[in-house]
Amino acid sequence: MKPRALWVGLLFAFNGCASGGGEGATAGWASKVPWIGEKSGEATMLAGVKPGPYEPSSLAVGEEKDLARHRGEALGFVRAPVLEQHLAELRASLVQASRKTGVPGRVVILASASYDAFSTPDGNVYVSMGLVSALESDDEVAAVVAHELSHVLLKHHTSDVLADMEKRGQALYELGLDAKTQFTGTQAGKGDTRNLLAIQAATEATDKVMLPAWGRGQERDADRLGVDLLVESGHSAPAMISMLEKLQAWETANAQAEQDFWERMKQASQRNLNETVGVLYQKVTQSTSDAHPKTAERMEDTARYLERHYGNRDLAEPKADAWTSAKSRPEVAQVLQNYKQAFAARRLLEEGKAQDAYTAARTAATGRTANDAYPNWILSRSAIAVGRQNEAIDALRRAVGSAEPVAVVYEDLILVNEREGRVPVALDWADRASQVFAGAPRWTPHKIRLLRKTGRIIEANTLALNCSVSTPDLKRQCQEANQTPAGQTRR
Amino acid sequence: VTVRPAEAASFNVTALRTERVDLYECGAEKKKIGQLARATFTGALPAATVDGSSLYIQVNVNGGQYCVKAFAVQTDKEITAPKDVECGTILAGKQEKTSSTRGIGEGCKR
Repeated sequence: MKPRALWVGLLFAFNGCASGGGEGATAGWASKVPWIGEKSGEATMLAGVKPGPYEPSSLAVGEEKDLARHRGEALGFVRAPVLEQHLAELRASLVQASRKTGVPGRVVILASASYDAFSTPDGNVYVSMGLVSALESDDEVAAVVAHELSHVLLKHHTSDVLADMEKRGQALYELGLDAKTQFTGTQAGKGDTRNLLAIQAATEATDKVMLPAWGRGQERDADRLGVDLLVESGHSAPAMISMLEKLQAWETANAQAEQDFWERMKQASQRNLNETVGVLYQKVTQSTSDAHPKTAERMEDTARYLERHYGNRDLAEPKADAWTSAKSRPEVAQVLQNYKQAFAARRLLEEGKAQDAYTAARTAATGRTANDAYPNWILSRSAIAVGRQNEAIDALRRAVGSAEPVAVVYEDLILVNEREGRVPVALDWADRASQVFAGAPRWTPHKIRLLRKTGRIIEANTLALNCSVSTPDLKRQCQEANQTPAGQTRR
Repeated sequence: VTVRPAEAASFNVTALRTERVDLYECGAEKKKIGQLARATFTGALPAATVDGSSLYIQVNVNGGQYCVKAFAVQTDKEITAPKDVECGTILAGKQEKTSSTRGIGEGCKR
């Protein structure tokens, strides 16, 4: 029963921290987070940030390695030197305003049509092309960067340690249970199963419920510190709210994806949980679902913060000129336009309009983006759809050779070779992808599956074991891959 | 050429984001002359942009013209956003969650 008590205890301990604005976060690693909650309403967030050298996060893997890993997680990076320089200057002004020195990282543009931005412990800030295109002033762009930089300055990434530790704990418990069952030749007992269920419940709850709750506090604090940084760097602080208004509009336009998520959550909780923990979990899930982070609430909180701390100041007017000017420079405008075409091509392809997709993709892979991975990947896909195999192969070749590789290109190459029976070639592409993307774990299930198909069972087992413990998020995929029927050993 | 009345081109304040929203004279000095209370705010106030400043908007309260801080109020101004076509891909591609925080708009990533 110990595990249940421990995990349920953790569950409520962290729930308390999240809802209490973090004042209760005093134990161990959490005490290092410079959290300022509602109770310290008189001070700005910036007042809580100690001036001086930035202390690197213990979770940092290195700026370049971090970039390589994230390059492999989405659809690649967009290279637009003028925009990147502009973003770097904005970031520098915000770092200076923080009074911290030696803050690592840079701002990178992701080849994605969504409205998205996130940061990592290495200080890198990733902003999607969709968001870059939608923002209308230097101040709104600065607001995005300020928000993400605030996560870095406040060391918010540390909270991911909790989820990771829990998942690793669960993975180890399951592995231990497997070993016990195999060793004794008996089925797991009722007690074992209950413990496992409790751990799974707590892990899932932390991941889906508590961390988002904790995350709401983080988002609020990042918005607030972001406002401070905007004010101190001479930007227009209300841009934080106008930026959030755009995000809200995007959320409204894409509400279906969010509804689908909560529907999946509901089904999962009904399927997996039937004990006390499960009932509690379902209740918490429901209440958290009802109080799911709402951008409107963030806007209200930011407005109150602005009024409370800067209500008597003459705030700077938003300045659109520099951003508009940067975006309208021919070399930037072409990149923006071509990626817009590439995103449109992808949408058309998904709608079954192959010829229109092909036409758009042809335009996307021209000029400054003629050798970019994403437009060429879309061109390759749409060329196949209209029966232009040779053009598809040429486009895929350009995509692979791009200075900014895209993970999906490697996935296509792995799957095509595997489907056509060239398993060793597919495995070679999986190995290459793993190298190109700095060992990003998404390639591990591919490698396990392909190793088994080539008869290399021991290597596959070792990888699967390592995957279960070190990357619990991928545990299920790795285990499924390790169920692949074994092929003949090839030497 | 159709000439539209000024009201047709304007918008409305639909909610207050703070408990109290100050009302100002719309002149250069922006002198404070009153307040709107969120608790008693009902309906929508006709509003318009202010020339030369996007920090304020002009509102009509009981027939009088005042200015309010734009960030302190919610309006029904239309903000368009494209339908995201990459969401599913990011969801699938985001496999290593550890060490990156939820970001600005990570709604469909989970």
